[in-house]
Amino acid sequence: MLSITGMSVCYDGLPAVDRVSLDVGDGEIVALVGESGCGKTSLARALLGLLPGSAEVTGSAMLGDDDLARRTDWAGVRGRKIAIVPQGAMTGLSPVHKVGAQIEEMLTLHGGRARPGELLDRVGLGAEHLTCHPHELSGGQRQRVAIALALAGEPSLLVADEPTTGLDAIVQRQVLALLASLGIGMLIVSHDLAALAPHADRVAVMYAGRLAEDRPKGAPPRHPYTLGLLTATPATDRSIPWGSVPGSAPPLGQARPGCRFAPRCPLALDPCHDVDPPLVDGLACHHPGAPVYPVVPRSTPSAGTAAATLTGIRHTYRRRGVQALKGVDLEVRSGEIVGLVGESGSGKSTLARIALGLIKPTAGRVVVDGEELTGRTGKALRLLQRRIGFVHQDPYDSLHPGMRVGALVAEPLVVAGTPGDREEKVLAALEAAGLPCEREFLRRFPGQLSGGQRQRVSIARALAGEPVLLIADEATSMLDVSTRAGIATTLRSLASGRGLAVVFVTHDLGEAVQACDRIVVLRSGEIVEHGPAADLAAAPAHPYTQELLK
Amino acid sequence: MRRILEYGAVVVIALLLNFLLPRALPGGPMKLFGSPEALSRLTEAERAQIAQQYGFGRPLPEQFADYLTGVFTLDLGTSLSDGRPVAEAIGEALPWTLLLVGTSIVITCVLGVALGVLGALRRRRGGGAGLLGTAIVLDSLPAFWLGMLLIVVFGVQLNVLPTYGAGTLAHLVLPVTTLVVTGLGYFFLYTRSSMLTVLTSEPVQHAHARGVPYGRLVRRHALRPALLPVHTIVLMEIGFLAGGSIVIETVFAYPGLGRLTFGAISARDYPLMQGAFLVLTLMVVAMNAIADATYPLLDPRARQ
Ligand code: SF4
Repeated sequence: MLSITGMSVCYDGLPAVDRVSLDVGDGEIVALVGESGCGKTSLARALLGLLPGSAEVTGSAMLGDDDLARRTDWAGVRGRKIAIVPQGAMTGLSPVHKVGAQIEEMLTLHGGRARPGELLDRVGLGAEHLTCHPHELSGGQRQRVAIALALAGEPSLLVADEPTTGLDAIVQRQVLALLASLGIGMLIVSHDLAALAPHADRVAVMYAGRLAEDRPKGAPPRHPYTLGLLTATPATDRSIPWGSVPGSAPPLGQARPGCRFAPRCPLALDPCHDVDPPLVDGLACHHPGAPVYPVVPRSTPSAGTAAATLTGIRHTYRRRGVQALKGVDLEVRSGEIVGLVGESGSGKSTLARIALGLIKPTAGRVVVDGEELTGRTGKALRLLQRRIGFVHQDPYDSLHPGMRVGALVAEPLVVAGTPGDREEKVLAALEAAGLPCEREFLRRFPGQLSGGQRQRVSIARALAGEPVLLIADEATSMLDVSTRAGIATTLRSLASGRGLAVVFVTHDLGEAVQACDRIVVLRSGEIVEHGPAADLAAAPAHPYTQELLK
Repeated sequence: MRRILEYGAVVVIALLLNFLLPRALPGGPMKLFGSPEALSRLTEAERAQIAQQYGFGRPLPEQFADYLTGVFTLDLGTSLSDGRPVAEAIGEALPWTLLLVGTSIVITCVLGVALGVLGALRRRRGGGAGLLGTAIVLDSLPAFWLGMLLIVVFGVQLNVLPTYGAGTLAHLVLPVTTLVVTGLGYFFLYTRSSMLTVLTSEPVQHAHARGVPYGRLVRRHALRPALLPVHTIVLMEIGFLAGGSIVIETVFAYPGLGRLTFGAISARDYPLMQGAFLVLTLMVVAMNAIADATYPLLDPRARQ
């Protein structure tokens, strides 16, 4: 039905999508998977003419006998023949119109014959939601409405752009199951290979603008990059190791000749660096095999002394009247990594902020390094806070873009007024965080670093203050899948090497199972289950944990 | 309920300031009674008698209590300069101001918002850039300067329009023009930037991706969210301007609240100042309250 041949998308002459060919058959679900910047979104948006003016599309994309790559007038096509579920349904619906009116609009515009209630029913929502405004719906419900809107014009092809991003794990599965059940031809674009694979009839993997692999359901993945992505997806089974692909994808226009993946591929041989492997039999690789990727080491938890103890923590956000925490106890000992797992609204971020002394709990005590944190203010609080390191979720926002790496990492030393040679300490911190221990690196700006490197700079900055406790708040969630385990490895080496106590906050139970010694599962401000990672993964006691582990 | 209490608190604080600020001005009402030399010849007893008669010689708390009682019984006292009841003077001036301000706000708002939307839609073309440039210039024009320019051109040289006073439609033309021209830039810039933000926002981008045609995208998806913040500033602006556009009314000798206030300030006419400020305060508070109350009608997210 859709047949893409030799399609390229260039921005100012730099190819984001490079000669990609891909078919979607009638009623077939094709997953287009890759990490940020691989060109998957450019490709998907090119199919609907949604690229900015600076983009240039070449090649062809035949939908029936209509070449989408050459189209300029999209009336009667967009929404009718090909429809999109755009990325970010959480904020993408019109805030001032009711769901019913929005569906009605699509039906009138695109000549759909269904009634609004029927469409809602098709996406698993009751007709009572017709009179709701989007802000009254949950994230999953909004995503369903966005799907209903796309279905209204009875398109023959549906493009879903990152349909699960921003949703909780359980809701993600429901949305994917819904998409798979619709029975129309579909191109699902996502970074999440493991989640999509079971639902797709075919999986296409992109890397740096090129198609690496295109295989039907059931066929084993063969491309080294695909295998890397799979090992980088944390399993909830501790016996399956969690690996990462070292390095990072080339920025736009900086790919070298030869195989794009060669600089990161464990199997690369000489020809890989010179000859671009063609896609033969659904695989673009000169010599596929079984690549070996570095994995997160396991360790037996050492029983150190308590680095931080939180007892009976309660917190109510008075303004919103939300009880974020309802009596939580947590102890982190030196040398161990404790996973704090929960979905959005579980209170995990609140707990992390309380441990940092950023917010005062309504009740309860926080003791860090043997000294009470709660009740301290001003200088006394700041002195104790220096013993806690913090790594923020967003590596793009948390580093000042105008400061060089050296200055960023030295900041805690400057704040504390540490005398003597700071550069030595900065370099040591960089090395401990897994970054190049070179003077040249100190002069770089955050803008010149990859996401993973930035997050390591954050870690190095936290380490420079020589903390006893490190709080990593969703430190991996904004990174590319292939590099996440690398961060976990670094945290592990810090815990076992320096006896650092680490709180690893995450929404992904799989990551916690893989990276942590002990796990605490939070839900609606309460601990539903806690215990050693191995036991919790093998025999979860609480139904909620079981659901998360599925 | 909480809102009402908040507004109550604002009014009480405003009343206190209204009362204290005039008295914090240098100089006093005494100078109304004659030239400085004449005043210096008054004896202590004579001064005390005048102060006694008009009530401004007593301790401040006592005066404030009187003032409060007055406010709540709608007795604003008597003007020190001409002996008229303050309520009457304000009652006479207020309709003129409302006429002037109302007319100009309606025109400014309609023109400014329409041009702002246009400016946002045409931002990449010559017309849009021209509009933006003009608006920035207009926004920075001093009102008194434009007013005097208009007086010179239309009143003196062409002699086609009256330049002072009020009464006929012709009297309104120059002051309204001044207010509209100097106020237009603000509305234009505000609407334009709000519209630009909304045009690139996710809901509009998503609607575009769903195949909503451009015209409909602008009318149905972008306009309403873009005008939400404009609604609030329009009402606030009415509140401020209703206190009398002091500069414009003075330049055009327009018998509104603004000129009354100006006169009261120059004369240190405490009761009249208090009265005028009271009206200004109440207007601002009332317009804020209206903005608060009507906003949820436009934005469903603000409904409880
Ligand atoms: S072509 Fe070579 S470098 Fe590229 S994926 Fe295959 S083995 Fe690795």
